[in-house]
Amino acid sequence: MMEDSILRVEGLKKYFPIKSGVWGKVKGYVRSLDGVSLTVRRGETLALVGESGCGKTTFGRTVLRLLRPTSGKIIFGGVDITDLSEKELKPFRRRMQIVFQDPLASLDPRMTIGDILREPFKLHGGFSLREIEEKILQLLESVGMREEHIYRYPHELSGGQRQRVCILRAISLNPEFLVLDEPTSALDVSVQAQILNLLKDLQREYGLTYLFITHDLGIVRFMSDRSAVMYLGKIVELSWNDDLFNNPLHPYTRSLISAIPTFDPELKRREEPILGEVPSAINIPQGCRFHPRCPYAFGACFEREPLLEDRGGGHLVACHLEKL
Amino acid sequence: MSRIVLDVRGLKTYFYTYEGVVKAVDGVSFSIREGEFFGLVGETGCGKSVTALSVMRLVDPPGRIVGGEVLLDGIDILKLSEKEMQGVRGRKISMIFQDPMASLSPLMKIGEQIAEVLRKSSKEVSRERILDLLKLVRMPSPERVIDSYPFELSGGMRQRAMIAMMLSAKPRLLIADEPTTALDVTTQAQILNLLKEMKRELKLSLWLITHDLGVVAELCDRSCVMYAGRIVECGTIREIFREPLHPYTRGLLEAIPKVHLKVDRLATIPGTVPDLIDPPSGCRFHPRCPYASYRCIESLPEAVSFTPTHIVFCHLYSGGIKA
Repeated sequence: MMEDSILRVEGLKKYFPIKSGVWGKVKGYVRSLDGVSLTVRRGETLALVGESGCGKTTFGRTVLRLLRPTSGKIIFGGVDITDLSEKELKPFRRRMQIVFQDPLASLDPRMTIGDILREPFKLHGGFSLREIEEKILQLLESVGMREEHIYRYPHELSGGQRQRVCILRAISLNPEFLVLDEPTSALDVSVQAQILNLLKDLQREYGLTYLFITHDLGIVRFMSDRSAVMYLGKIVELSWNDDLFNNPLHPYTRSLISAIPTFDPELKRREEPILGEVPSAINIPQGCRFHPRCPYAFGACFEREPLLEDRGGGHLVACHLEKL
Repeated sequence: MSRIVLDVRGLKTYFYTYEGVVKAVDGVSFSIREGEFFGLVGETGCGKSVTALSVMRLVDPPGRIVGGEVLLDGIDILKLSEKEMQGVRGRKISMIFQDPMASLSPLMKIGEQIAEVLRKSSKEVSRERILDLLKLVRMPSPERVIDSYPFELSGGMRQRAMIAMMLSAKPRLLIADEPTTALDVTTQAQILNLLKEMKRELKLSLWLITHDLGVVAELCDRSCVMYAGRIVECGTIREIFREPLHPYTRGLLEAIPKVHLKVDRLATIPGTVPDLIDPPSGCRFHPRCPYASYRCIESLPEAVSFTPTHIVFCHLYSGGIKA
């Protein structure tokens, strides 16, 4: 691959053991990530979409090495970081950051906003106290907050302000790559719009690369250039957004798109929603993992797992159907 | 036109806290007709859930209903005794909530829980009737579900069980408070389809409470938008989504990222929701409104009707001129 990639993931697997009894005997595995390969290009926003339990959050945490992968490879900025020790990882930590869904849960309630924002500078060293104070003031102002907020505690801020602090903490050391794990799903739409616009501005200003994890296809359309759709620990489709939304190739992607309420009262739902719900990642169906819910399933789907193949123009899909 | 089931007039519910009086619901009026799906939309803290709890008379202290009338088939249920009210809840008005797990007993099988509700409204409770109810809500493998505990079911199945339970007494009105917020989009689509089928088959009247405008557009006939304890606009779904009048309704609709429309920037509503202990004077939206004038600061906007169904509370229209 010739493009400038910031993150390359090959066959990434993450299994969580299920232990039981006094001796903690392993009786099975939750296969959260079951062989995921993708490349994130420098400067782009790649969206990772899927329903709860599909493994999108596990993916975000594993590529940052917040979780240790079971197998597979993570190559960040040309370096294989799959098996690096915590100490060896430290220089990479400041280059890759994450923003979580619930801002209140990711801010220490006993620290002031100032303390929270000073922490990354102190951890990674090399700044004088004066530099740090100047920087955090600059950061706060860049997102429309004021000096007085330095002395406030997280509970004194609104949801939108808290998420701004989380974003600032993540970008304070000029990282290259940011994982955004449902950063607006705890916020109201009017605040969500402010945060999404802010994320776009910051990306332009600092040349950031985003991996945007979400279940909301409207946000995907707004934020990203390319998107990957996940189902039960695997990518089922990956493409440029125009192709993905106008010409979805996988039956699951199609049902996801048609399941979204349209905002036009004249345009009521055209298709019947797919049946059933996502099966458990402990007992993954044989063959294609979507086949029990797929209206088009035939012989091959029950037997063989489809591979993720390019159907032209970088539109990748894992499905036995020739066309939908 | 069909009969009015629920008529809420000037409802006020205040919370008496140490910090002051929180005017959570401050003069809300609307009505729901037989067989109608009505949506009350608004953001967190606008008072939509408190409105529903007030109608059910389930507001806990320090909250208190301090004014207004709630007419159910013409009878003011705010004047009923607590004992009479118990005959209304579950039988005439039922309610389902966002998290079905919190409303179901974890220790009882689904069948037993439905039987418990059924016994309140009829003498004849049989396994067949319970199975019929489960089939009515299109429960997959009802024979197995009837003997299952809630934890053994998926989120969508739990919400189906709740709907079965709430429909068992054939209520006059079903209140659904964010019924699909905890569900995935594909499961949400299934539950919305189920509610539409219930509308056709049972002539169900539904009051949907949600922050999700998409769900309202999909499911409802008519809707009101709430902001900071007051209703700002009411209309048919077509009127609200195609010709929104209130700057808040417009702002909300424009702030949502949409799948079928690629934009470079989202429109935003500046500022944040006001504190309801000391709400802004006049129109409560004026500090965030791009069109606010001195009139909006000084006086409360009156209702302006554009059509018999489309009503807006905004000074921009008090002369009857469209903005």
